[in-house]
Amino acid sequence: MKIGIVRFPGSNCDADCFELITGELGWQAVYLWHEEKSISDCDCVILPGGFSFGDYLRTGALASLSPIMDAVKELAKKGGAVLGICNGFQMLTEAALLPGVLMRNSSRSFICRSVPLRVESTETPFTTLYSKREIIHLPIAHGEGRFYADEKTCKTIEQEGLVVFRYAGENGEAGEEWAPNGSLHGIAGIRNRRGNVLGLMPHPERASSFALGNTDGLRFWQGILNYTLAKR
Amino acid sequence: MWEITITIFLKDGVLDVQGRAVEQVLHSRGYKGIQQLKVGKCITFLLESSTKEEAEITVNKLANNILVNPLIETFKYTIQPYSFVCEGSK
Repeated sequence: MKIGIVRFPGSNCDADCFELITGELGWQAVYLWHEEKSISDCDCVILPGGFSFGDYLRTGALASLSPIMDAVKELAKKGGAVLGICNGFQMLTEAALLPGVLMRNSSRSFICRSVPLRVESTETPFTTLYSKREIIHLPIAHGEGRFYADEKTCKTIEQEGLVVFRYAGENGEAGEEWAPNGSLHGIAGIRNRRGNVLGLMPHPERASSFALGNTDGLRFWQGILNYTLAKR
Repeated sequence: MWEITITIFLKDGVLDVQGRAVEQVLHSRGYKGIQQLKVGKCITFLLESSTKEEAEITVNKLANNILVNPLIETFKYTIQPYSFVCEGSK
């Protein structure tokens, strides 16, 4: 399996993903510069966190117009796995690969801490090894993570089971009141209908190492591996 | 050549946290009569086009597909002929 990690000007979580995949997990990963037009033979592409293009115009907006995004859309169309983490999630919404938009946190502050999340859908390659309604902890670090969609879109997202992670309390309750950033319905991550594209604000790559004391994110990567091998 | 100015604001009903912060500070400074304050953005540029109608088509295309997120933002624009004024000619 080969994972492509796209680098935009201003991306800063690309190295975390690369070191995890090639170092801890011992798999193959390559960096893809945002101006490249091909993703080569990557089975999975990650749009990493950071501040691509300085968040100019709208966060993720300029990155979503980069040449590489045509190839990412093509991969998504063919059923390849696409993962947008934090700024990557913002890019996926701006590129219309996922619905909704991410806005400035309602508290107006940048929030950086580990938060409980409830797994709402295991129908993606990344969450197939989790259990529905399981509570996990992943770190968030963002100033613009408030998920918003108009009423009609939100209804569709909920009815079609597209919510993958919801901000939660420790005892299993989840929803808007648990979202530190004011996300509508407490939405922390969503998928597309097919399930091969996932965007989330929390950082699973920062919770995949025993040395860092949190391995709740490890099953993300095993899930992608299983998905890729099953497709062959 | 046309001079375009696009002003963009968040739609009514969408939480504008920056606008709220500014409004609250103004209230605390004694400007109690201010309501519904929004902070938006203004984008201006020159556009080459042989007719005003064609220029407006381009502006709307740019605004609706790139410069504005129609899910949460609205926009207005002005368009006028651009005339370069040489400082030395005044």
